[in-house]
Amino acid sequence: MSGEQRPSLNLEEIRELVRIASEADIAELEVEAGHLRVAIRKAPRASPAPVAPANPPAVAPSTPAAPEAPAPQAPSPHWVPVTAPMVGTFYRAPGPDQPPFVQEGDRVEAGQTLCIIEAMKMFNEIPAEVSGRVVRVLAENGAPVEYGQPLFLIDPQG
Amino acid sequence: MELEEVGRGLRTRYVGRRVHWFEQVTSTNDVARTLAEQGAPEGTVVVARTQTEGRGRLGRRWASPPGGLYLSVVLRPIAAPYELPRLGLAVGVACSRAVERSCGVQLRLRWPNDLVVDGKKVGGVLVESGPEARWVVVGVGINVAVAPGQLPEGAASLVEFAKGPVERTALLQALLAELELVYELFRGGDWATLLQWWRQRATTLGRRVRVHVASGVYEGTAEDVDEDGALVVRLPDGSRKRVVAGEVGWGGTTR
Repeated sequence: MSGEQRPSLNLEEIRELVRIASEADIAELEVEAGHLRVAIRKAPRASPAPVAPANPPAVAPSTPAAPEAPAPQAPSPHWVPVTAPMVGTFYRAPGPDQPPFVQEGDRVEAGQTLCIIEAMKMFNEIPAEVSGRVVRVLAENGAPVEYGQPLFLIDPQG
Repeated sequence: MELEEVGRGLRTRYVGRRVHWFEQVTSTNDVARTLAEQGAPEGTVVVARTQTEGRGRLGRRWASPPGGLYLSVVLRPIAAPYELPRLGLAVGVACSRAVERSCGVQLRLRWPNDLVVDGKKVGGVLVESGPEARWVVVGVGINVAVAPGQLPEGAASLVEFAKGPVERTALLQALLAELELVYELFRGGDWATLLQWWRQRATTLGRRVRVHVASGVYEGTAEDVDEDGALVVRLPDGSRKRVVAGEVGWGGTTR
C-alpha cells in the first residue's frame, strides 16, 4: 500500500469544507487531496466598499491641510491573503528566543515559511503561496487561530 | 546497539529501511528535516545516542543524555494540514504499543502525546511538518535507562518499571514496526481505530485538568478527545471547550 495514494476527500469532508467556508469570512477555499481538488467560491455579497463616505464631514474651509503622517499603505484588492489551513496556535518564529520568520515589508518567495501553527503538539510550517511583499501581519504571536483565518497579506506586485 | 542487528530483526516495509545513526547530533528532528528537504525517502530514520539540543514544545530543551532512545522518522503523507494533528496522537499510540510489546511496561498517554508510566514522564513526541506538508518529521524521545541524576523532575526511565532488562534494539525494532502500523492506519483514514487505541491508553480522560492557553488558564474535567484529536474539557459552568494547543496540567489531584 506504500505506493498508493490515500483516498481523496469523501462527501462528508466536502460538506465540512463547505460549512467551514460559509462560516469563515473568506471568499474562496481550495483544497487538494490526493487526485481531487475542490474549490469553493462564495457568491459575492454586497461588500463594504472601502470608499469615501458619501457625505464627508464638513471641514472648516480655513483649516489648512494637516501634514499627513506616512499612512500605512491602503489595502489593495490584489493583495493575497495567507489563511490558516488548520485550527491551532499561531507562532511567528521557530522558537521563543528566535526572530520571526518574516516582518511587514519583507520580500518572500512562494513556498517560503511564514509562520508555524501548532495543534496537538504538531508544528506545521505555513508557506507563502505567492511571491511578493508581506504588507500586513494579521495575527498575534501565540494567539489561537481558526480555520480560514487570514494571517498575512502579501502584495504580489510589491 | 548494532545497526545490522536492528536491520535483521526489523519487520517493516519502509520505516527504518534506511537508518542514519549518529553518536551525537544537535537534534534528530533537525537532521531528519534536512534529509527530508534533500529528498530522503519516506521511512528514513535518524537515531542518535545523545542530542546536544534535543527539543520539546516551544523550543524547550529536551534532556537527551546517554541511555535514552532518540529517533526521528521522515514521512510523506498526502494529507490536508488539519488532518496532521491526528498523526501526532497516533505516534503516541505507537510508542505505547512498542513499549508494551518489547518490555511489558504499560505506557500511558497524557494528551496530546506525553509518554507516561505511573505518573512519571518517560518520553515525548514532537511532530513537525514542512510547508504544504511536503514532509513530516516524527520525533520520539524515550528514557530507556538514563541515570536518574540526569533526568528532570517528574521524569523516569523505563528500566525503573520493567521486570527485566530493557533491550534497546528490540524496543527500536518494535517502535519502527508500530510506527509503520499506525501510519498505515492514518493514511488509510482509519481514525476510529487510532482514537480507540489512544483512549484505551489515556491518563487524561475523566480527570480534573488545568489548561494553560495564550489567553489565560481555566480548569475543568477532561472528558474526551474528539474527531480532530482536540481535548474536550467540561468547564464548571457545564459548557465544553475544545483544546487544540496549550499546556494541560492536573488540577485537584496529584500527578
